[in-house]
Amino acid sequence: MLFERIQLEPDEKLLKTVRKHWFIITVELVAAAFMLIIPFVLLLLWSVLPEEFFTYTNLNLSDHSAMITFFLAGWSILSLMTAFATWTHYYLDLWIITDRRIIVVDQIHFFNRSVSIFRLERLQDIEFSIKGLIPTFLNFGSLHAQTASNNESNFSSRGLPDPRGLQALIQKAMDSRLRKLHITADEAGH
Amino acid sequence: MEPVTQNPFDSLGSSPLFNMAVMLDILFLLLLGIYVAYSAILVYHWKAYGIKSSLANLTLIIYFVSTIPLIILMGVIALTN
Repeated sequence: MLFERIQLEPDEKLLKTVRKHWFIITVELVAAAFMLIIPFVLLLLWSVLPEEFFTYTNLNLSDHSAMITFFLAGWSILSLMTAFATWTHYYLDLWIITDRRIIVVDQIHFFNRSVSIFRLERLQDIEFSIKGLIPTFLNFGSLHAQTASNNESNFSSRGLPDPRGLQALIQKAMDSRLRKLHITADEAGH
Repeated sequence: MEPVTQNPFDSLGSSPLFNMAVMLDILFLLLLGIYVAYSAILVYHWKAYGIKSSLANLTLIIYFVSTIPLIILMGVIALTN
């Protein structure tokens, strides 16, 4: 499982686990459902064609029922595989916010996965944006963060729910982390 | 002498190069190979990167329950034709 691989530090508290907004996965799953039902709709349309059409073209689907069933089953499997890939990418693509770090897991494809870890004390700036009609109504958008290190110092993610709330949560965790580190440093100095 | 014209689709299905039963067998084996590889990848991802084992198991059960009967159906049609 994932947390066995990430291994939280001792006393590290998990604040929130965030996935993309439900609207994103719904749109993708509806697309897969449409893909699944297309041949069934075509068959239904075929069945309501007038009788003259079949006598004229000499085409009768009942003569090929086994082959049609074969292709329908194959198409359904491919559609289901698409739907499960969509669900897997949605579920495994997440942000883990702890009181010390932000762990960004990007599951783009099955063979394209990256895990980035950013320490809160190194975060410099975090901003969100909500663009468009649907994101505004459903309250989802992008979160973009910048760290103090030079290379690959930016990370961002789109379609996150309540980006304003997430920004506030990260900001609060970052302030609290810095305060704690300063207190520890002061104690060490005296 | 009149050239002999023949509709190339007349012999479709009876030609050894385009035998429908063989085509179904090949398509079935191809899809079966894709399905097995895809299923292995799916199981690996959920087992390795999932957060809740209960949800990972539920997802995999739904996946196999919904796809295995379709694979069996395809296999029966391909192998009995």
